[in-house]
Amino acid sequence: MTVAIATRLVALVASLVVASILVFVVVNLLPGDVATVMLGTNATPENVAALRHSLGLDQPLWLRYLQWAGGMLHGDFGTSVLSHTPVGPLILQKLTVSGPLALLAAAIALAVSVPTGVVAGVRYRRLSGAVLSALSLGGIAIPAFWAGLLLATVFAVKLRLFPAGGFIDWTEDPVAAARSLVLPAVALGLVQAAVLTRFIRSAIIDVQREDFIRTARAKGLTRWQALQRHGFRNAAIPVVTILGIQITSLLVGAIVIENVFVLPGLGRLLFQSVGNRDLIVVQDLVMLLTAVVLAVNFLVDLSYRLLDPRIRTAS
Amino acid sequence: MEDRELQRDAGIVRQLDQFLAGRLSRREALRRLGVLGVSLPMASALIAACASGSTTNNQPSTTKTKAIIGIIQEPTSLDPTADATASIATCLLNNVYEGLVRLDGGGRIVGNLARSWDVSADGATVTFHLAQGVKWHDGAAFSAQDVVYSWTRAKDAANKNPHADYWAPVQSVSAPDDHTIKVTLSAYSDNWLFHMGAGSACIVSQASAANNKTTPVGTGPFKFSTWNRGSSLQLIRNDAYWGKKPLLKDVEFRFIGDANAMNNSLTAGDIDAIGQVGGPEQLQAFASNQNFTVIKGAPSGKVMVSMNNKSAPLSDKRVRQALYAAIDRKAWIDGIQAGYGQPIGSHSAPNAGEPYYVDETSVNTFDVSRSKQLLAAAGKASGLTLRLAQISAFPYAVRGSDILNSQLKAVGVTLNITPMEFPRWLNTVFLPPQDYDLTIINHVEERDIGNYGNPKYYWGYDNPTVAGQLKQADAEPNEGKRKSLYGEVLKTLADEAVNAWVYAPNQLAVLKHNFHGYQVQGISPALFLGDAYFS
Repeated sequence: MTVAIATRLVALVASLVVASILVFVVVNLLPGDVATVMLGTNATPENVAALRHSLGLDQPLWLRYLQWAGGMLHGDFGTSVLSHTPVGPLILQKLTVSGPLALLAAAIALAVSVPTGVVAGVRYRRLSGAVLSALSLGGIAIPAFWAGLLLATVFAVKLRLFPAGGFIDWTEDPVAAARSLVLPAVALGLVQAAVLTRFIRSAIIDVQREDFIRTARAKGLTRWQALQRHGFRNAAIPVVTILGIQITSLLVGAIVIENVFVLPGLGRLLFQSVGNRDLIVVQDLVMLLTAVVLAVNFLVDLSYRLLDPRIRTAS
Repeated sequence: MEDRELQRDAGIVRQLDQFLAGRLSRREALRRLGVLGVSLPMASALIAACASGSTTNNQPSTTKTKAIIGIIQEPTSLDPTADATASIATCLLNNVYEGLVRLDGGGRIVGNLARSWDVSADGATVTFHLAQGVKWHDGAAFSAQDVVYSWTRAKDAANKNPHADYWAPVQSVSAPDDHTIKVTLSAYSDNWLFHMGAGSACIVSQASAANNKTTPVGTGPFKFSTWNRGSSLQLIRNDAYWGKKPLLKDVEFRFIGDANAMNNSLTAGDIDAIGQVGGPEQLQAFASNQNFTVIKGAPSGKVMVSMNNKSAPLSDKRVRQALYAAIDRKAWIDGIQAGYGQPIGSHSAPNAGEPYYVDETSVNTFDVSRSKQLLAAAGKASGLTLRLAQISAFPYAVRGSDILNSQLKAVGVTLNITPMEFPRWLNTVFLPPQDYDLTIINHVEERDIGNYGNPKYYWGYDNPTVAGQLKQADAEPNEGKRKSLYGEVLKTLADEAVNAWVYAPNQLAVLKHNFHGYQVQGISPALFLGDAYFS
């Protein structure tokens, strides 16, 4: 057991190193650089070259990689070339927006999808099951930004229950901060819920066809009792896998929703930094997301062991 | 019975009128209303209602003193002397940082830190007389030495000022005393003083210049407070301001990239003004709603189809003229600007910032059959394929590409459109290798006609006569002669169809109806809020 976990941890670290090299190379292949952005439409090739030199952009790629990667090992994520702000605290500040947003959206998605998915799965031959299934299909077809615009029009512009956009920092007014996350989280959560409902539904349908459920029913359990004792745990494995992917995609995939609701989150920072070629910020952000994806996958792997004793004993 | 009530009502109205006219004190009015049988709370309410009613229009409000302005682009840093991004000046120029001069809403040069200036007879020496009692936001006293420091620093290429070229005509900057600045130019330059109102020419303090990217220190009516990256920039009133004190106590710029989100924010009351309008077609809803005011500023900027004059087949004047003749300017103004724009025919926009403007739209008119004839004469009757570099971040460029594509198709020209981000555009189109045929861009900088004297500029126009005329015009102190020299250049550019200039967009803003004294940005990128207030 501990050996298996240790092997996975080593693989995690190795993946991070490989990822950092890939991230650095790909990001630095982007055409255009920050020097031209700073000089704008008044630049001459000579002053662009001079500015590149003073920013250290003319140093060899491997040297810049080592500086960046070495800095990260010491907890130094570099300084934005454009705004002269250190990137580490900047990303932490954005995480106070994107983190709660992703968690809230995931909570909404779970709260909606688990009951609807289970009912739609159990009653998949009945009208109620079919209606829920059709609704979830409709939900998948709705893009999150459109749901966001709709929610903003109804609940912010017409009813004025929530702000239409913007974010007031937690330290300034925690209630206002939470209020500004509600509509975007609902917009994201509902769309994710639709996807998750589909997975839960098919997992439940599959598990009902398993031999062990038939045996349980033959012993005299009702369909619900059989599902509760033996079904849900087995159906949970594919669902947890999808949930892991969804949470990571929510962390930065919320960029469109962040634009609709003018939230200063990670997605917006990434978008702006790519546009301005503030590459150190882009590298740090992509690296962070890679780390999160790998960490979530690691946790999902561990959760399989908790959910399924067969995996535990097999290793 | 009814008569007596009417009489009493008339009496009440008379007393209220007297109070409003200032002939009665509040106390006396209350007493007289009491005599007429009006209860005290009722009488106070009546008087209060009258008092507020009498001060409705355009009196500065003492209760609402914070303005939130939505703008599209977030500054990349907070130092306009280090970075060309226009939104730095939008938020900070004239509000936090000040120059010796500034541009008013119409583009005229007015004094700022310099209260007046004299120009010597030969035009080569300019003497500025500076304001007295000016203090930096950090409390230090401002003096002429700060101007010498700022402009010497800006002129030195080592300091990477994005507009170091503005100081090319400057030979020396000196301070004969603490309130006087003497500038010696190699010759008179008409554009030099105009450019001294730009963000890159603002005056900074030697003590704080190094940190201006994150904590700007200036002399302006507002002080920097906080910058929440990705969200907002906050300023607070500078109570020690040397000039006219601003009426607003707090100013917040909120960065809203999405046009729908911007409109929602204004409608929901989250912001007080849309400072930069992304989709003019959406203004209709605000124009017909009396809770909002749509303000239309002067046309500024030049939206144009830039052509690579160096590469075939665009090196052939007939091909360029043919493309220009295929362009119907009205379709662009209606399709992109919802009508808020003015057609232009050469590299100049009709506003006071470019006083040399001449209407040249009659030189290259929309004429499909002429376009086809010109193409045939150039040997391209069988059709032509050109590449268009499209800056995908600019909505006008994206929509402009569609319009251009359909208009050129009508004369047998096919476009290969390559969408690209602005940094890539800068590195491939604007700077060498300058590998492109056509591109659509709004040249927003005022008085940038001098670029036609630079054969290395990205449109590759090399005409020594024009270059000579441009030099001569800038050095010409006589306004009439200067205007006619620029006029000749504008005419030549149009005749040769160097580029296809389409329209100058009106600068627009939408305000809450009780928001006044707002200067729409445009000719100057600055969004000056020193005169703004709520009623």
